[in-house]
Amino acid sequence: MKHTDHQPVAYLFIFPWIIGFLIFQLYPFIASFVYSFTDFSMLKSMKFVGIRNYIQMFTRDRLFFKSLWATVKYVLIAVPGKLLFALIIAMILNMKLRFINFYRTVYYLPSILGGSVAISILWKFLFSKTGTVNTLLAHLHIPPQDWLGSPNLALFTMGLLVVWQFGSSMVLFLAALKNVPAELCEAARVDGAGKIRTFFAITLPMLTPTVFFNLIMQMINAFKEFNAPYLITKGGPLNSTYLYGMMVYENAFRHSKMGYASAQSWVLFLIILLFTALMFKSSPYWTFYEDGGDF
Amino acid sequence: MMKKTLKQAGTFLLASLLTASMAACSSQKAPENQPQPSVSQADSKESTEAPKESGQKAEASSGEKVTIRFSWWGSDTRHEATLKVMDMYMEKHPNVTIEGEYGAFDSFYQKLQTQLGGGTEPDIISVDYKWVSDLTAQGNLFVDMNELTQQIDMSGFDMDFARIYGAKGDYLIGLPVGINGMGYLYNVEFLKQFGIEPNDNWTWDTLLENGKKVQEQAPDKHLMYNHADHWVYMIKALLKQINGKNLVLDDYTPGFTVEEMTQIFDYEKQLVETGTVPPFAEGVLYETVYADQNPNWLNQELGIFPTSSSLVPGIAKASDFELATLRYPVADDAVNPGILVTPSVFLTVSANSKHPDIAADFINYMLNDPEAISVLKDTRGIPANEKAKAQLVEEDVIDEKVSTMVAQALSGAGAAENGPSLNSEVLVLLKDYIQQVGYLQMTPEDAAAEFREELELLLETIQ
Repeated sequence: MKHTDHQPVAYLFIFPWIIGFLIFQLYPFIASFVYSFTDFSMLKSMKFVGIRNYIQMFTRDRLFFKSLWATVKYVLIAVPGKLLFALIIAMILNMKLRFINFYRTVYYLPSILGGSVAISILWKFLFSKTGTVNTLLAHLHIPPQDWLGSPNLALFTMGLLVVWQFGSSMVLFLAALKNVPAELCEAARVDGAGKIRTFFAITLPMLTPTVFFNLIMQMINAFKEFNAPYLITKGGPLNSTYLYGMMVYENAFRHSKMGYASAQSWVLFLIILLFTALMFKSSPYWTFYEDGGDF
Repeated sequence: MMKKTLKQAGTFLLASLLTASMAACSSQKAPENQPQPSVSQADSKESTEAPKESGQKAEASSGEKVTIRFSWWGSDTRHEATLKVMDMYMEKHPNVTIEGEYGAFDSFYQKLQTQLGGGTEPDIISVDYKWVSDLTAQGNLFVDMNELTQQIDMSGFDMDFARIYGAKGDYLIGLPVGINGMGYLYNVEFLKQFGIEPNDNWTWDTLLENGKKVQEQAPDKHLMYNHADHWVYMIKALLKQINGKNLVLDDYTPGFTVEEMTQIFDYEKQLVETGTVPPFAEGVLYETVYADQNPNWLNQELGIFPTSSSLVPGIAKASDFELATLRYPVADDAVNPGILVTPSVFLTVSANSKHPDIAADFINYMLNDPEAISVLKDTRGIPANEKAKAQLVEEDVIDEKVSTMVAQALSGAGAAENGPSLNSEVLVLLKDYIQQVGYLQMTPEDAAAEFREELELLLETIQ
């Protein structure tokens, strides 16, 4: 890139971001790495303990693997569910309907409401034993379920809350759908391909870069999910929704084991890094780029 | 382009995970042996205008503008009364501004720890007895109450009671505002309807029999609901009644044998199987809230809510039916009656406070001034200060249910809890096994054996 006179101004513009990055991202990033080798508790003076935190995590922590497993299950429920749902809604909203902009806004709303306290209370209300969902099911002669109380169902129910916040993925899908060249679809139709065939042979391949992007973003988000378990189940029942983020939080703020929680954060970081790397490695086999995918 | 986004995403992830830990990293030095705000100096300061209330010297009136902060948790009735007392104090001491920081109990301790870590804690801090051993283990974070006897009139307090829960050795972190007793709050109509006779001689067997009575007549109703913390209390009380010991002994070994814990878990299982309590899968939604937010209680589908007395006014306010209290169950052959009687709140002064003299003076005002006592009433439990209690009895403003519950608890007050039994990790471990048994996933025998084993491993790491 050519150097121009504009550069100092450019730095001025990104200056606030740089400050924020240094204080709120880089510093905690490094600090937590250092803390992960200490018994830092916020109040006591800390001392270095080498890799004891890491050893304890893998050998002595009865909740570590349980929590990790719950988190993996959660990712497997929430991410595909959310992407599928987002894609379906995006395709509906891609149709030429009256008031389409109104619908687009409405369908984005849940993402803004997000995992707030009010929503978690709403969720509890909907899915309680005598809640709305069970009332609806009763009309279909399905016996009431303990959606959030049963160890087998709670994680699934919590996953639904996240699927419900499909807005950002949906917008990306919608943008990608608009970019699917109409002439390709037309050509396919002329060649006798039905709607379903057109979708799988043309639309979906054209969407794969967006699928890839959404997949990675949502996977990262799901791995570090904290709001849903904290607000809805507190990790229960029987620790079935005790997600990794919840465990880190509890260790840090409930048991005052900041050093240990930092170590757990770093392990999560490595896990996410690993999964992301695997996805990048696999992407050439299933994503399609018009320009050859050189990024 | 995509890689960059990914990197950003990664960074963002870490940042959000770890901002929390950095928020509190500025000053972690525990203020040990901080020079105590010199009492003598405060004393020698000539208070020109002697405060008319209760004849206490108030350094606050020396003219300099000061602001102190005061944090507490509680229900609306407590907030309103406390804010009013703060206003009354500020009116008398125009140079003093007191800022209140208040909210629900739920996340109070987490916030407090963060504040203590960052050195941003308020001057006056409410502390629960359950945190005392964790906090005193971290150094002298609070002004030793023994050094504030000049500023605060402690003559009405049972200092032995204060020390059992609020001291480490001689170091006393605060003064208990109220006395809290554990008991059964019940729906009068509900018990009558099912022909259950409330009296103060219930044993654990009475509870089961009555639980069955309710189930026989109305399968969708249950005699009682224990929230998550109460299951822990119940197990601790049962243990004290069986062997008189705490869950964890002072030397950090389990205070029970596998057989004893099996017996206790077996009782829990019977409560579930007889339907005395709702199935765990139903009850778990409300396990972290009290009866005032439990729809099953408010819809009168439950008869009894075990609670500590300080929560009774809040629950009573939310329940539009008649309530009364009965004594906590005690086994006929109990070694120790085991009913929990504790201080409700400790008022402490931060060791970092710049105005400890004023903080102490306000505490004195809250605890000893007749006007303040009249306003605060029993919002922090039955006052631990005998004089304040006598005044409220005279004014006839104490909720009868509260005073009855405390009296019932005092009639069978159990051995005091010790620090190791209140450790947060120990409690989490116990709650896990309570759930394993309650969900009928583990037999009482297996759960007791595994719990003891896990507890021993855990205790090694937290000593």
